[in-house]
Amino acid sequence: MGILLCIGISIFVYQRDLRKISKRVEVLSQNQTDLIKHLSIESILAEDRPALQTTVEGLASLNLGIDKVVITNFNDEVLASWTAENFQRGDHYKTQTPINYLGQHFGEIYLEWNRKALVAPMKARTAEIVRVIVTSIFGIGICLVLFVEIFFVRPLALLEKKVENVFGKSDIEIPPHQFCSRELTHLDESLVAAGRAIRERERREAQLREEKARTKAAEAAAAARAEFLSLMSHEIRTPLGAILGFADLLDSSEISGDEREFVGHIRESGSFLLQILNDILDLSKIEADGIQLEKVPFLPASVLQNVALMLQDQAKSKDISFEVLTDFEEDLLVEGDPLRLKQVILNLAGNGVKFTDHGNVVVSGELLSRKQGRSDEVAIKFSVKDSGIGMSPECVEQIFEPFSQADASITRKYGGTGLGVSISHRLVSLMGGHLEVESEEEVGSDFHFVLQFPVSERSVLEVNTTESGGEVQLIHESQGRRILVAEDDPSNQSMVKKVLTRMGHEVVFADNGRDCMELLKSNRAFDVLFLDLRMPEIDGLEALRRIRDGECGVEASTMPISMMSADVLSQDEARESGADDFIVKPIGFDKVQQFLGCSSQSNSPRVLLPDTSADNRHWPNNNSSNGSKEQGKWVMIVDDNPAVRQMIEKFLARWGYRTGIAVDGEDCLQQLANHPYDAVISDLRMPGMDGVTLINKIREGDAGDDYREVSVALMTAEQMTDKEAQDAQADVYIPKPIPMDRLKDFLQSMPSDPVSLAS
Amino acid sequence: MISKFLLPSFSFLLLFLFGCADSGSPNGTETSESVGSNPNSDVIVFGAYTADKASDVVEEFAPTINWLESEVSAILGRPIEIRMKIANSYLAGISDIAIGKAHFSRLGPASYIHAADENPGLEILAMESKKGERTFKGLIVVHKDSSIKNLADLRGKSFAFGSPLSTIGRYLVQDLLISNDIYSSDLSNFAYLGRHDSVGMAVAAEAFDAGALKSSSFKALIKEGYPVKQLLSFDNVTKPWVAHPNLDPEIFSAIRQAMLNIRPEQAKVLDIDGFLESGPEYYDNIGEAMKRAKHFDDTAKITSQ
Repeated sequence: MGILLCIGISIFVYQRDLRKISKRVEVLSQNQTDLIKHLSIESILAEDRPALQTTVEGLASLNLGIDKVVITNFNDEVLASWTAENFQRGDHYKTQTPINYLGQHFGEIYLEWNRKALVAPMKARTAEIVRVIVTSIFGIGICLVLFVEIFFVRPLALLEKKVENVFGKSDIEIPPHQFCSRELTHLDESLVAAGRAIRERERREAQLREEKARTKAAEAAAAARAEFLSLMSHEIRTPLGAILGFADLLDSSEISGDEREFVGHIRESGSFLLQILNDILDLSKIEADGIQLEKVPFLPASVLQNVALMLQDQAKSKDISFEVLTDFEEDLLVEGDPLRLKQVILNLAGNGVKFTDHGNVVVSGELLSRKQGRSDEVAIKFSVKDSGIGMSPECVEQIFEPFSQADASITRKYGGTGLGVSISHRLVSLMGGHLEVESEEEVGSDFHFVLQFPVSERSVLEVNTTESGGEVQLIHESQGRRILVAEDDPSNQSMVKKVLTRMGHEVVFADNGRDCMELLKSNRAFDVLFLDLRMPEIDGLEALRRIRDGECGVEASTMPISMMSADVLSQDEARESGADDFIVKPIGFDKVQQFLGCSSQSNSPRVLLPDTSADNRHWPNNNSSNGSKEQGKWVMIVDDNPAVRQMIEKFLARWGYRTGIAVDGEDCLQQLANHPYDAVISDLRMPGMDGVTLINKIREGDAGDDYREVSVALMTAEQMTDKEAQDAQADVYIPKPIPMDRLKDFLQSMPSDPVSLAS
Repeated sequence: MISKFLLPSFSFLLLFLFGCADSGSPNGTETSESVGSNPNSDVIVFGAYTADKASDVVEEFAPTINWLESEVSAILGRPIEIRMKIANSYLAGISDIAIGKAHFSRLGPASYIHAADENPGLEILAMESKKGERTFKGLIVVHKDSSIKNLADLRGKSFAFGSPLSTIGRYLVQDLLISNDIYSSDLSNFAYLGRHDSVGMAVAAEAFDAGALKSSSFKALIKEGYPVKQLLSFDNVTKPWVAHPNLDPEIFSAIRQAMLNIRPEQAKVLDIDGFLESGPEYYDNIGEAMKRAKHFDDTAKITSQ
């Protein structure tokens, strides 16, 4: 580039000098002409040839570079001339200048200038200029190159590396560099920052990908585990339910004392096995994040009371007191998962009863705070204190770990799986709390935790849910009843009155059985009767029998009657005497609501959640017969397990039902088409068509239009939520192992008119 | 890649083009000035001779010639260029018009006679007019303190003549002296000093007792304070402008027309007030005087300066 520039400059300068020379020659010529004119004008005008010749020769002697001079007159006649000796034609600048004087042209002066003589100095100067220029250019060029190299090329090369670094071609981060140019420095800093940002983003993206992969794997594993658990739950509960069921059947049969003892062991072992299974499944679900907490309105006080109900007999048998203390109102309605809360309290209180030989177990609920805002929120501290064997500090440290009891001797002495506390700990954590324990050996233990609940915006009366001893029932509101309560204990009267009046019912009290019967005879219409078991004069059982026998009238003989007693063992007798329900004292709102809902003969589905407490299984009266209306009703039993089918069939037969058997949904549909049935009891999981599909097809009319509204109970070893049960379109959900009393309740709730097939 | 060389190439091209453009035509001829050179115009030559300095002659005649050039061009309707050719002597001037080196020329009366003798074909364009007359005075001057009162007093005195070819300076004054019976031998000394003003200055310097010069030169000397005075005057015929026969007749007519119609203010530069028609007859007496003057110095030594 430089060479071309130099050549161009040289040519330019040379050509420019040539022009200069030409102009100079012009000027020189004019000057010489003027000189000649000045010196020889008279000679020129007079055409004085000799004089002019002298003049030209004099001009030539000046060595101005003139090789030839010719002066002519206006007729081109030579007046004078001179030619240099070494004159060579062709290498001259030629000029011809007119000789004018006072506007008159007198001739021409013709000059030939020696080019070399003229150009030589120009060439020398040009060469000098070119040398200077070239030198300058090279010098400037070198400086420029160095400048560009130092201030641009190297920084740009460095920046290029950083760009590569930014776009991940190199993992090595090049630190910021201080350049001479502020702009380059800023660019460099921006690149470094961009590189860091890109690497950070790539790292985060990689992390996210990993997390997604882990999450996906975890979700897949969780799904697989849930599926496994579900399958295991079903596969284990089903035969276990059959074992327990047949044990019950045996127990209700004519067997010897030894055989009855053997059956007792079977039942006890089976129940324990069921408990272990439930605990293990629960723990597995919790570990697999398979527990979904519900958020439904419930009464915390009721939860505590129900736990007391479930454990008080056990406590009584060990001669320890069991108390429930709350400092908040009984009708405090909050939103949460009552079943899980009850499970925790029951676990802890159950352990308290189990590990206490004397003293007391106190279950308390303490309202710590109530926040008012957009939505009210309460903080309740739940506590289970016992005066039992307590735990050593080492045990306290590991009490929340699965399968850890105090030591093996404790396990042998007291039994248990060691999972309850661990499950409770995890459930409390799921519910947003933290289970803590203080314990001292030989003094006792205190398990406590705090949970936050939003206060339900609905009133107790509006809520159609009630939590009751492990059951969740959807019951229509039974407001505005006229209720007769036969109760001799004033405190119980007060409790019942409080509960019933809050529910909007009219309450009339009788202090004993006699007064109760008198009130019934007095033609005062009552919708429901609550009858205490132990009363003076005529106790509850006698009154019940006499009322059912019609002594107080036909209406009274068929009215809904619930027996109340703290003696849970009397419930069978009460049922045999004609009681529709048996409420174990202390009387809870939920129990009352439940009975009242049942007594209103609502058509809403009842969703029954499993009672995980083996001790609280209520087995139906083996000899029960609830009236002639049940006789002859047909019930379809659908289950792929023959043992379960047989067990249910036996119970139904005892209750007076006739049964049909199907091995799966398809079989059931075919049989329904051929024979009228009043109800269907179906297992959920079956090969081929499962229970949900079967029920949906029945509702859609695949078994005939008459079957669209048939009562259907769905059995499963898995827990179902209300929504799942609703979606399944079953009337009731019955867990496995099957609580027969609930099965019986379902059967008794089905419509009277049998399904008739279209001819 | 291309852009790398674009700039230097472009620069090189620009420099080259600028360098090559208008290099000055080293082999070309330059004419920085030309005066009316019109290849399509007729060029005629006006001849004049240096009675004085050639530049003075150019100065004297250039305005008239330039005017004449434009007038004749206008008359003819085409461009006419008139060049001046200055002869360095009377004889050269006479020769130029006689042989045709000059197309037309302004001659003194004696010069005209000589020229006509050489080329009888010369034609008079016009003659100068001095105060509307065809004649003007020549003078014999003496020192202002001279005792010479008349021609007779010149006997035995020295006398300065002008040019041997001068009408006033020689022929008419010698004819006058002869007519008064004064010949060269009657003078103590005489010389031909050439220029009229030289004669006047010589007399003023009393180098000569008397001399003959034209009245305009005498007036100029008087104006400059030279101590001379007029002794007597004599008539001379104004100068003719003559044309060589090779002058294009159309141009000849145009020149004559222009001259005869010259405005006085334009003619003033020639110290005349115009031109008058003329012919050879107006110069016959000059010829005769010239013949007679030949006898003035048959045997005298002629000194010419």
